[in-house]
Amino acid sequence: MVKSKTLETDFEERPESEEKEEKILEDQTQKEIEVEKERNQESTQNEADEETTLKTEEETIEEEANLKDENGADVIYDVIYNSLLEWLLHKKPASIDSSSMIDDADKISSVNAILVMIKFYKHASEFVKQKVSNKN
Amino acid sequence: MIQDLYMLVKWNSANCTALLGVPEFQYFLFDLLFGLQVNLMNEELRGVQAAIWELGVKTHTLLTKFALLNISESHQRLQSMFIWIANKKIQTTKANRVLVKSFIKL
Repeated sequence: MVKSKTLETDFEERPESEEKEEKILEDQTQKEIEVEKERNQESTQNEADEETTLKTEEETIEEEANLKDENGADVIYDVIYNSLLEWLLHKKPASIDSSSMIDDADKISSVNAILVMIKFYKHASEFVKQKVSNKN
Repeated sequence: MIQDLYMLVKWNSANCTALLGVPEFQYFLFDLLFGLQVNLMNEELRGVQAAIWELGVKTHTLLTKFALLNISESHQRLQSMFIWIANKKIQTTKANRVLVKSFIKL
């Protein structure tokens, strides 16, 4: 009989403890949800910041690409072409503003440079395509 | 760029052998000249395009001349050029036919 009493008391007490546990679990889940929401908000803010920084970087690159010299040629293509020419002829790198001159002593020293120039031609501006480096 | 390549080829024959050793350059020049030649026939080639076409033709002529005079198997280069031209003509006629058919359907 004693055993049965204890069982009954156990049976009666269980729901209260379960309720408490449920409440605790609910509180925990709510807290977790709030934390996740905060994290998501932070991540979206970070992504938005990254996007804005990327956009600004792209804009600056575009602005740099749109820079033109006195003759109306794109400066960035001009610089890339000069560096390719220096690679092709195995010359020392000159300053950014100066363009390399071609002499009769110049020899093509790199096959890879020719291949890169061929690829570059499609993207180069019209001025670079017919650019005259020799001023003689 | 084309002017520079022309100068390199014109002034130093060693550059001819270097460029002839790159088959990609030959087909690049063919493609370039073919694209410009189409516009030249339509009398639309002016300014920069005309200068590129003229310099490209000169470069190609110098390279072919050097190859014929100095390289024993230069006939293969000429042969590949003729094959390329024939293939290009077939491709362009096919493309034109497709364009005409699409216009007729419209």
